[in-house]
Amino acid sequence: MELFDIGILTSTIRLSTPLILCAIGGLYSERGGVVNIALEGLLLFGAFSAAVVAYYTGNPWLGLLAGAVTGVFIAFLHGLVSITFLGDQIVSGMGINILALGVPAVFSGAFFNTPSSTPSIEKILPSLNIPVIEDIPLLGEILSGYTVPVYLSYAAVIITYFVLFYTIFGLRLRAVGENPKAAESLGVNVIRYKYYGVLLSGLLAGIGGAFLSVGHGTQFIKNMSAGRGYIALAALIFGKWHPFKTLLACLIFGFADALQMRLQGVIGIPVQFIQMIPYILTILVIVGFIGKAVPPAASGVPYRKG
Amino acid sequence: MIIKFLKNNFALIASFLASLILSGIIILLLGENPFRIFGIFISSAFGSWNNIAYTLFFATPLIFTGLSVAVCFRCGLFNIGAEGQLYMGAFACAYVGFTFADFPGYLLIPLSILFSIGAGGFIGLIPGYLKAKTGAHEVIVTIMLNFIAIGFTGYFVSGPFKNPGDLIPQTQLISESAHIPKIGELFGILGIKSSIPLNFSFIIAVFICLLVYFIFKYTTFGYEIKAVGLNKKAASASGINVNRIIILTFVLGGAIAGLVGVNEVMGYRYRFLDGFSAGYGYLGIAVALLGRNHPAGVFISAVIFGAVMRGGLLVDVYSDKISKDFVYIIQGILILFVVSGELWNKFRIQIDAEKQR
Amino acid sequence: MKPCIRLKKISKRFGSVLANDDVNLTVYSGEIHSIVGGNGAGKTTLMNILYGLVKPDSGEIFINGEKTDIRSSKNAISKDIGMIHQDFLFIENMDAVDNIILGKEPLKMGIVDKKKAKKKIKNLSEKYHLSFDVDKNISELSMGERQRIEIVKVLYRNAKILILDEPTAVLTPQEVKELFNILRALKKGGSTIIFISHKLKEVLEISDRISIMRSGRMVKTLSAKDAELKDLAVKMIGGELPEIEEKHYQGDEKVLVSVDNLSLKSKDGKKILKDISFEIKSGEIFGIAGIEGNGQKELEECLTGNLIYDSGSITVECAILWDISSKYFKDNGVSRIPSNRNELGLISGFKLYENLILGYINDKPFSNFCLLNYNEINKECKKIVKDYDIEPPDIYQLTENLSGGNQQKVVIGREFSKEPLFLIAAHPTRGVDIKGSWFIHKKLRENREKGSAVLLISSDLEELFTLCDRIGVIYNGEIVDIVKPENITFDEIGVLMLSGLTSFR
Repeated sequence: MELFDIGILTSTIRLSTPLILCAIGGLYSERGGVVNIALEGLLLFGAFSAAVVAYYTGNPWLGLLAGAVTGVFIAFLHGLVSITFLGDQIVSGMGINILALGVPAVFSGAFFNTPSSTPSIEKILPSLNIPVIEDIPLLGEILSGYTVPVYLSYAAVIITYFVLFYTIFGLRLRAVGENPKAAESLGVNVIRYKYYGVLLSGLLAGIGGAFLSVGHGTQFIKNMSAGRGYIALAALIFGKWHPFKTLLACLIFGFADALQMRLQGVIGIPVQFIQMIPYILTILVIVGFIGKAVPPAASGVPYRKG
Repeated sequence: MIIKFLKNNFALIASFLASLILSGIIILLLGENPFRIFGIFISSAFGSWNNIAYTLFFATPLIFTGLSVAVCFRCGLFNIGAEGQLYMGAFACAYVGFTFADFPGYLLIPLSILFSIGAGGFIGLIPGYLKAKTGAHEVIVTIMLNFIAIGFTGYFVSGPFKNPGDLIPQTQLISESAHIPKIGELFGILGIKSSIPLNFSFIIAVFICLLVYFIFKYTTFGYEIKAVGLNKKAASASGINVNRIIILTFVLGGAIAGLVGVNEVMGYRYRFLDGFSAGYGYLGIAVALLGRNHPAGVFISAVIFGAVMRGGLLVDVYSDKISKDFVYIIQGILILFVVSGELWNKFRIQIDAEKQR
Repeated sequence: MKPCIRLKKISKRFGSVLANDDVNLTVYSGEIHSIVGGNGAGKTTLMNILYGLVKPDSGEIFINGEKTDIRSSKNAISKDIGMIHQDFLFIENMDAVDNIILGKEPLKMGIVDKKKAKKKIKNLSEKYHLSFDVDKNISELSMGERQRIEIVKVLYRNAKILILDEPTAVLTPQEVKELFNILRALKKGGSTIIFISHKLKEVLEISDRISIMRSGRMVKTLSAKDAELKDLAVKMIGGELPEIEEKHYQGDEKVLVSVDNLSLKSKDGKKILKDISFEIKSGEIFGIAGIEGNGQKELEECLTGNLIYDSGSITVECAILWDISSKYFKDNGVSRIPSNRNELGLISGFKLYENLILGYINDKPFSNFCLLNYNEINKECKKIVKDYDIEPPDIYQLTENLSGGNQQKVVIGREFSKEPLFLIAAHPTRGVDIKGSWFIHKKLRENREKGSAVLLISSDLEELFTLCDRIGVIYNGEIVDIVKPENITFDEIGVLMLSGLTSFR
């Protein structure tokens, strides 16, 4: 088997999709000053609800929608606890992650009598071929033929860049994450913008989760996110909370993941070491060895009005 | 006295009750009778000495991780890294146990314990050092370190230290001289079966609780931890070396988390098994939170969490509608309620206002 | 002229402190109206109430004759009120344009129209000579530029009433001159300006009318033409001249502390302390007088080993303190009552006894081989509580539950009872009531009698005159003169503090 071929590029793109959706989601939340380590849980909730709805309706699109809606709802819980009730954002995120280990398993046990997975879905999201591009040799193979969430993730990056730096919403969201007091003194509703950021993170991470169960796979499997929410968090930090840099980080980490799958048992480098790459890079960047990652100034601090 | 206790712990008690009610509603939705399920939980966790022993067995690692988090919390540090620390501790413990297999027990047992402490402490040193020297936020560093530490141990047991012939990634068995006794063997009077895995490490856990209490209350180190945790500037102005305290506290936290390895390796499985932890490190955060970072509180809340885990196993057996993963739901709900401080403050203010009328 | 703002009987209480006590104020439209007063006089609280950041307990606000309820800064903005805060409110890593337009962004097809915003900002800054670099991040700009951006921020919202809270505190003299030109231009353009300061010379220069506040009360409003520096100073500080004790210096002639050519520069190269030199003898109280912000805070930090100075030396009892760390200084007999006791002097989440040993934890007999000796700690704490009359006397209570005055006694009791060689007391009676102040003064004198060298940093002249043997006047980071209280009048030293000019005498 060849180590580097087109296959590894296409699987890089597939494997980085949930990372991109999750990390861009996290970007909204953290730019608004709310640390979101609940991404892992949001992925699982999204994946589970998408699989369940797709199974019962036979429609993967409804599954995708269900994943998005569930993501928003769970993110709302995170917002409620950490914004309205001023709870610690890390602990709240941890609580949601633990909840995400239980809810899917218990409910799939109750629905299907199989706690560790949901039944296979007959129809998953279709792959889309892009006209013209699909006919170009090589490039067509790399760029075309993915499911909708894959294209959506790249659209999300571009839209996010635009929204963040060119719209009122983006300006205010960033202001709220940097200095809520200053924003408040100019009449910006801090609490509302914090909620917007958190809910958007739920929306995107929920879609990312749905991709795992009804786009990439055909069912929900217990703990199928396998730490991708945390890798997305790492990518967000490594990308210094900037949409394009975050995208690049996600692609690097997605590539590491693809490589690791390819290398399984093939050559001397242990897969665990390749899996560690995202985490080691993130520590280096947080310490300041590779540039310096400085989070939004007010992130992690509960905002008490007045 | 009781009223004062209730008043001081209003938020905790209210969270507890709210979690109970919400869990009950979910049980109802799943088509079960909540009273029956809670009944199973209570009887299987506390119904007999044997059941209590099981509960305490599940509580033991949580006491360690809860204390680890609590010690760091006291210093204003957030240790999410207990999971990585305990994996390293457990692996080091097993490594010593099968490498120096011909050592006598009186040497091997302390050596193994020392290695779990040392390995956990070393993993704790990293975020502490980085925090002190570069200001790197310990939350991110410890999250990342968890995956790195688990990656390393995963590599060890699937590569160089894999037990030949086994399908699953695990090490060979440790020397029998490194085994620590089961509680059933130690205290025959209670009639605890020696097949129940509760072992000597529970006694170590109780001892560490007392030790942490002692450090907090009676040593200058404990005093300095508290000072740094409450007000770094004032601590520094009073002559305390804040960076030194941050590093030492993190090492202490890591070392305590490393002791989980003693329970797992020397008292229960007698080898290192990849992925053995049921999220003990993360649950430690909830345990510390619920125990208000006090050693006695940590002990009690670890027992509560242990009871939930023990009960979950039996609920799984006695109910076909509720699986053992229900435990995570209870834990998650409890965490979210406990951390919603302002929710209970609002309640409290309202209750007080009603009273004054 | 018609009144554009009228505040009627405004009162506001924070805990035990009455920050505003039945305050009345009338500001005419088109005037520059100054409010002067010492620290804690209630100026900022009053302005925060007007801007909707603080809710008054009682009182009414009239704007252009209309009774108005201002509940938030949003309300205030809609009433054309703008406030330039003492510590600027900026988003540091955004550029000036974003900071200015935030909350009122011009749009073009859904996109923030930065071009239009820049044009409007440029127009405003040209009209009022407010120059700054619009494209740079705030963090890269000087304090003067930041302030001009704050002013544009307010003008951009079409504010007609501008509140400036201590605007000159962070500016160089040149920048102050520029600011005054801007304010005059604004006035000409029809704006009303409320100017808060405690620098009287500036106030006299810029104002049409001046209101004086003291301890939460409005003392008097007068026209700037009728005002005199001396008169203002006396009204602001409290009027009565202090009684000077007959016998001051009682110790021997032994020099205990000497500070030689202490200098400190800020990160951007500004000189904060310039060649500070003085000596304090055993049993002497040496005062540092000056308007706040002239280097006192930094001097305090340097003398206690918390701030690394660039050059100079500090000698205590013939030993040069070479290792600049708070621990080393403490071990060599330097002790202090910090100006900000809540931040540095004590830990409010500590129990009382824990605060009473803060900084002395490793000393015998409080600990032995890292173990706390509770018997000795209890004995010592109970003694301090009794000697210093800390109420309530329970050493196991949380310190944050104590009143401000008692918290101050905790710090003072702890430091004084150790009989330090060199005692630095910075604003020891700030926020303390008369009885408490009297008590603290008594204890300071006792320490002098025991032979300590005492440095008293204060902005309260009365306090300095009552206690000090000699007073050094600090102005712009420099000790411009060292005087004996019996040889100088209250007015003369006031002028010295405000101008730094020794030729006045």
